[in-house]
Amino acid sequence: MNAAIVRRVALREFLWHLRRRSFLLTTFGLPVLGLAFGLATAYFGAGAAVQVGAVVGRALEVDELRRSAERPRIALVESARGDAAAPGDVSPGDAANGGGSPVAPGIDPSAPSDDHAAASVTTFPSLAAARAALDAGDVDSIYVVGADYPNDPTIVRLARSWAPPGGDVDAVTDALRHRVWPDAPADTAAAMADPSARIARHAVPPPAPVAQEAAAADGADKPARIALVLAVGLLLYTTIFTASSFLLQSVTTEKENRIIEILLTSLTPLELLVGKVIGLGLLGGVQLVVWGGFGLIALNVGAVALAAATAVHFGPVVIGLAIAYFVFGYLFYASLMGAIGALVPSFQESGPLTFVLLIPAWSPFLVLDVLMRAPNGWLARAMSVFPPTAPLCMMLRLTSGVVPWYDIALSLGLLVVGAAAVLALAARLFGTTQLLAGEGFRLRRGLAVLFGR
Amino acid sequence: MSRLGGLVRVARFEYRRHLRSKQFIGTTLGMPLFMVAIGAVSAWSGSTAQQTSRHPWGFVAVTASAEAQATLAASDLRAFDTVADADRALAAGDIGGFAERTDYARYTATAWEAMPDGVASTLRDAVRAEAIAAAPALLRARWSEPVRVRYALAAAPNDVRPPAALWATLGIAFAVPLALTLAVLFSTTLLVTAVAEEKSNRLLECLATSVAPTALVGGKVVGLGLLALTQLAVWAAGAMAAAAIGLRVGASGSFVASLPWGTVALAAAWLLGGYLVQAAVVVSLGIVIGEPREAQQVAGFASLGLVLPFSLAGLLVFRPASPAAVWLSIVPLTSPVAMPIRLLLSAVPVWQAVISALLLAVTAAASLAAAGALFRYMLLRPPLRWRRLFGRRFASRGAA
Repeated sequence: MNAAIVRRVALREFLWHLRRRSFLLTTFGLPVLGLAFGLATAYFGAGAAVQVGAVVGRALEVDELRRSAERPRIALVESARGDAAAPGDVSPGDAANGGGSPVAPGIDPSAPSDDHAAASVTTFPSLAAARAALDAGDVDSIYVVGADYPNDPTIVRLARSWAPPGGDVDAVTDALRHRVWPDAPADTAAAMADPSARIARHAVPPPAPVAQEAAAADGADKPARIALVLAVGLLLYTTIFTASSFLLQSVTTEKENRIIEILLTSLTPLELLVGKVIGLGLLGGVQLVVWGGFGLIALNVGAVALAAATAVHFGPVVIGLAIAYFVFGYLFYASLMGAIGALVPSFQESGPLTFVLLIPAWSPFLVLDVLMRAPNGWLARAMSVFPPTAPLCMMLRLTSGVVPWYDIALSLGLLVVGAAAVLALAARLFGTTQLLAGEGFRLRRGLAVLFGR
Repeated sequence: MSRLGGLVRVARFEYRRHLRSKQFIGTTLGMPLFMVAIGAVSAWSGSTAQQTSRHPWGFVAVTASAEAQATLAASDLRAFDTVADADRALAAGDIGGFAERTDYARYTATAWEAMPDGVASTLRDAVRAEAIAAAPALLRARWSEPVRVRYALAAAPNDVRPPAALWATLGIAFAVPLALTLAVLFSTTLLVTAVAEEKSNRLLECLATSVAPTALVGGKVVGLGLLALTQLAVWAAGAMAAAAIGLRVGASGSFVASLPWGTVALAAAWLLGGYLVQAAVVVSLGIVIGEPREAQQVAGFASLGLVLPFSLAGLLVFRPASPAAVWLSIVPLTSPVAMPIRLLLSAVPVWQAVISALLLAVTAAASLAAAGALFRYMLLRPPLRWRRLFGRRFASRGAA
């Protein structure tokens, strides 16, 4: 392999893609847009942005939706005593004639209940009044209690939609329970209404044998840690895949316009592929630096550094390993993309193959819960030695706790071997399929090429 | 060739060509399997994550009532005779915590681990079991379960449904528009690619010598629309097979029959209107841009109107009669998704449904007519390039 040729190809790819509008827009446009938004907010005052947000929020009834989820307001209506109609037979006629009667004693509208102490129960003298309150948005649901209650315990919940209820059913249940046994001792009634309040909790430090495991599990639910781990994973993979997709585009474009056939008369497939991989890898590095830099500026360097130091394990070793996983992860996926580019006749037809490739790459996100709670469990260890999932999975593990050195060595070693193997295979495909421009992808032929038949 | 004959021929060609394509077969068969696999892995991950760091819990409740003891014994909690025994197990890391009965229907949990939901639920049951045991025998059953709730809409109180029907209705209200939207997006992606490709390789010019431009556009729209219907039919067959399996595990035939299938059919009519509007938009984009890759990217933005209602699902579900929800279901860009969700989940006033349907129908007709006119106009002209367009304008200003 001629290093000078590789360098020339890498330089050409880097400079050509660096000047592309799509690259400039993605790399600088998005952060600049964010920065412009921040500056506009600062110039016009945060109040302007808040006002715009408030108008949109009011239109979408955000506060009302949150309030009804946290503190549902319930209307309770009792059918008239002696009325033979069952609760399920509530008819619009009832609303029209204002049927109903004042609530009998025994219902405490503000009775607290299990897990829904914030729910409020208001009694209404008639169904018509309750429906008017529902239409006006003063209550979230209506419960119609039959005249024969509690002999017939059926009650009907009327609401605006068929959305399943939240805590309001429990609130009404507790409110009506008093009717069944009005003379219940206060202690017994309280235990029935709110059993959670009868369970005290006393925390003790984790014992030595499980201290490390407990620390990992304890931090797994913290939003700051989840956000930082996700941000690291997303930044790593977005950059890897952006650069890899540039490679795919570059290969398919040159294949479509048959430039590749001319190029391969003066250099070897491996030189061309390695040059492209290096050039576009540098491009990915530029993007990573720009995005990371803008991110740190936007989020305030000091605050992020402090949060990173306290919430996750970000030391120099982890940063060094992150760079290594980025480089070899990129090499692995870029080579795969190059192989796909060599197999398909046009960029459009690469979609299904790229999709299949993305599934293992993003699969660690599907089992993120398990990886964060047990960073040294069997699943985390298996996924961190499997090259397609290793970069993301190992970064998640490294930011979640202490990882044994031999796990890191095995993972990185297999990733390097995997990347080299895929690069060699991609170069082989390059050399073999270059004269098949215009032909569709055939799995059987692809496999035959791979295995040298 | 008559215009109708040309349309039918183009539709048949587009339908058959894409029906056999790997992309169609892969999406139609692979997408449901992929979604099921993703759901299964996520569900497994969620449940495993709960168990991964959880250790067994224990209880010391020798003084509790027989009912409370029975509740605790029936759970996964480990029984200890004394607090000292439980403390030893806790210090050794064998258990994550234990609950001790300290008073009448009161417990204290000592733990180094957060209390799992299952343990909290068991302890609540034990507290309630003790409280129920204190009630007179005749009242116990009613006191422990004082109500049996049935559900209805305030606007239609006679249509009373059991709790299970609510979850089924909610599932249908989102699954049906989502499946229809995916099918629309799939077929419009094929449509924009087909138009842009044939424009860029100048095949359209050859075709226009034997087929009228409107028949060409109409045939593509109809053929790819039928393709979307085929895809939906396959997905519906899969869903029915799943429902059949569901029947075996508990859902009764009458329950399935009681679900709002008529409204589902009505929802499909709105999505048909949505497809026609989207098809007109992407045909226009395809013929104007003339470059498949760019046309696909721009067409993605055109479909945002169909995606927006899904992101405002909370509003449509819990405030279906709010002004924002009403507007979403009337404006033709968002109504193909917003109105079906509202129709399936709430009682929509007839006037709103009529206005929405009329507006959508008029928009679909107008946009199809406009797309046809644009198609005819652009057929023999080069694709539009922004640089050329603005460059010419600036050049003429400079000359002036």
